[in-house]
Amino acid sequence: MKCPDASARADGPDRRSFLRAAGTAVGASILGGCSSPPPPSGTDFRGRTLTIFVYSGLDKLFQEHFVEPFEAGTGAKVVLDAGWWDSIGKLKASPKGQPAYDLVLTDATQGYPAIKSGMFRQIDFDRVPNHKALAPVALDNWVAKERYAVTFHESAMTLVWDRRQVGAEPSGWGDLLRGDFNRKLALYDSFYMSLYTFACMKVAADGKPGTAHAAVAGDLGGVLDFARCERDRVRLWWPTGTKMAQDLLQGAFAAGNAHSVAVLRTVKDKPEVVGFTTPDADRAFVQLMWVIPADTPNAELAEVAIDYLLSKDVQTAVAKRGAGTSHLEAAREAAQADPDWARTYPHTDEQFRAMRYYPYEAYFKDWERIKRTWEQEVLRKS
Amino acid sequence: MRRLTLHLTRGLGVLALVTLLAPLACAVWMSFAPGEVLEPPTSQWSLRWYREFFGTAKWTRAMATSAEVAGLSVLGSLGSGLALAVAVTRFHFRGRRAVAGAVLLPLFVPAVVLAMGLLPFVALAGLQGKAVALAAAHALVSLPAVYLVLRGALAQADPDLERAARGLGVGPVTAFRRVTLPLIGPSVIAGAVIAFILSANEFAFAVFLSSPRVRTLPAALWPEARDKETPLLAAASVVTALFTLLGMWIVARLLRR
Amino acid sequence: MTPRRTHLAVPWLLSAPAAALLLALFAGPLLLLLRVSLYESSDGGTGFYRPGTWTLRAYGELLGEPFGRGTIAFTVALGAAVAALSVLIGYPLALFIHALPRRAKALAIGAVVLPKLANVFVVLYGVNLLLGHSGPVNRVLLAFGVTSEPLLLTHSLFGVVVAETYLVLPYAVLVLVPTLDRIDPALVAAARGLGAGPWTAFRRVTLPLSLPGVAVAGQLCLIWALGAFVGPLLVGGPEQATLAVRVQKNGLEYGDWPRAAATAVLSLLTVAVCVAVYAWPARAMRRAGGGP
Repeated sequence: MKCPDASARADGPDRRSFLRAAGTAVGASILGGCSSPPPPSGTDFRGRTLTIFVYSGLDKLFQEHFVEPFEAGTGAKVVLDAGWWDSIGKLKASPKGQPAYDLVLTDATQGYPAIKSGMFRQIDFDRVPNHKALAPVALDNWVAKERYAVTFHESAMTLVWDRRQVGAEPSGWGDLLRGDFNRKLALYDSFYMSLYTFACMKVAADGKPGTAHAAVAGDLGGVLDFARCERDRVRLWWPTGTKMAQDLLQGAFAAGNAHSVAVLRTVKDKPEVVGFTTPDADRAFVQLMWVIPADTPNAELAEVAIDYLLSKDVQTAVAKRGAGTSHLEAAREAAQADPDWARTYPHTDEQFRAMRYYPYEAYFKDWERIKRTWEQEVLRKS
Repeated sequence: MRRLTLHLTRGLGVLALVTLLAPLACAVWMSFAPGEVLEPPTSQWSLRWYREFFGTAKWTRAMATSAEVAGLSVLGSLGSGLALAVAVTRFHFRGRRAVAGAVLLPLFVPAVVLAMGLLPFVALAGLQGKAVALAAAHALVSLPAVYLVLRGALAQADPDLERAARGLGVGPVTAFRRVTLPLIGPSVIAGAVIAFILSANEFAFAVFLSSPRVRTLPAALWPEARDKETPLLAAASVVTALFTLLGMWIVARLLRR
Repeated sequence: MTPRRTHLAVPWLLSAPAAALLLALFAGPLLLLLRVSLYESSDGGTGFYRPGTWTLRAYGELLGEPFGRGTIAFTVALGAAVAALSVLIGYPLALFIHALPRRAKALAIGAVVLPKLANVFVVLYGVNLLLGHSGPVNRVLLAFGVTSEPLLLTHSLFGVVVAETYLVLPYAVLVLVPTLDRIDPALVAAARGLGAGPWTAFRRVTLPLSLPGVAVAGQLCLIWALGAFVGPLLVGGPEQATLAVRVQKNGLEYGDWPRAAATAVLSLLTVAVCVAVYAWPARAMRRAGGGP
């Protein structure tokens, strides 16, 4: 099948870049006098229990750095529940007025549809003053602008390779098209990451690196065709981060994409095997968010909790765990402490200005078509 | 020649058992890894993950909950499965075929789907997060298998033996208890083992029907298993396997009396 | 087996607990499932389904498109293959265990059951390790010169079949060992006493008498194997997706509840059809073993 040569290049949304500029200006002026604000005084939530859903692996972190000061500061009790995709299902099945959780951590792919279906309520950002300590770009999306969620970035799309197999180290996504990587790539089977990887490869091949977002938004058909064309370069599709790490250590593939959190963890134990880079051009991050179920009786308490969760202490702990943080100060300090972290995640103002999430909004515009093509023609040989 | 075939068959049998154990042996090996990466340790061995497992209330409580739920579910599925198997094999009644077919249905629906579908009903009944609800769900899931095994055993057990005992003046329940039950004993044990295994390993219902207070081990481990398998998972598996084996051994001993 | 007509209430009473369990915990979710499968899917990003709608589109897509039909066909083929393998491998293994002295027999059964007591993720991780690119299987193949490069045994059909058979086999053994134990040893002894060799005694006494048990084992393994989920998910690639994997992907990853529900209903129907088809050879096996 012949791959399309020319791709129509569309301009990025002008509204977005304007808003980002405006937001940065506002943020910069506020940042001048911002540090971790003291816990809200005069709020006594004694006797209340807040049930929070977090992703697995984070419960220990939050237990240490968040639960104790929060319980001490507010008098409320916290129950942490860890899981994966069960939160939305449990919430939908909860009886009215008794949601399974009062506060939920979720991501864009699960959160956007849930928010659109009315499952979550708006958040009073005045009760979450720490949101101003985040890079403005983190909140530059419709769910945050409409106050349904406090959004921030976490894991980056990282180029990983097997140092034992690879001679010339790759430096950009275009390198994945090299001949010596043919049939030796490993990509994530979920399209929110890997379709974007294909977009990065395409724009690099077209000589226009840095325009992957625009390609997905403006030339989705071209990106899908490219993915369909080049899917044979992939030797295996990894379903979980652990499988990716296992295959990498076993030498089953030469290079591919991965979650930065998994890579940073693996490289600590096996630096001689794991090579990685997060190319500057076309960086993309997972978007996570805190949301509050619509019918919870503890909305105020949940908002206070979000504020605590965005504090410098908690965000520093998050960074130490190997994830990115949108908290400007915490990011700066984490970068100084760990060079691997520094070359993966944004920590300077300029890097934050350029930070982008995966093109979720473009995905949701054409969800059916992407899903169908991905499942039937990219993941499988059509 | 016969001795050679004997040794050959014995050798193959042992080889088969060893092959069956190999992946588990890998898991045991990995549980001693010192680092966080799930890789077999070669130079350094460590008990760190076992210490963490036994030292964290989250895991030990989960283990206790798992045992409790599994025990209840075994009782439930054995009781209802045996009763149904007796009804189907020993009696001829209208609806026999329907009931015998219907009992197999739960096996045909993916557990995750059933769990998500069950959740609103359980929440309505106010049983959300209670161990009993989860045990009942597990009993439902293991009922078909237990029923099949027991029905097969009862079909093979000669009903004339029981009839002979009745002819000697023994009541129906006693005849069943003293004649048929010992005959199908090994299958009852097999059914109990199957039901226990299913419950101890089950994570779809466990995840959806759990609450922070009532959480079985698979439900507690499931989040760790998906994207961040540390050797803790391997250590937990080894502990679970050993404890269950111990429990089964005790039960087998008791039954032999 | 002659039916007995006594107190007509007795069989109903005996069936009551199982029926109650089914009605209380299964009927409700099943009806909910059916209803959800008839909703219209919302365009991605606007919720899970369009409330108040009725449509057969999800079923139409699954049955009308080669992709959906291919998934059903693959699920059935994989299920049948794994069930057959489990019984074929499980029977000799059960014979071996059945002939062991008491203590060794208990140990052997423990060894068969043990892998099922460990977390399935961990066990499959072990399978992945053994079948991996630099795992022992590949090392042996390379050492013997069978291949020049390591084979990709995971993310493949081979890996899925191995993993699923590994998960289903213990049930076959657990059913077959008591079956073999139940056969009166006097019968085999009598055959030998009449001059039959060990193979003939097996072929003409043990095997026929064990067939009803084999039928049960086959049915159980078939049902398990048709629901294959974790094996294809962790050891297979996208080409080895079964119906259960599709349900999970659609329902939980994509939030397309109608499609997930429709896939689940079709999965149920597929298994029901397979079990019904299996009833023929099963009945033949039971008759051959002197059963009803």
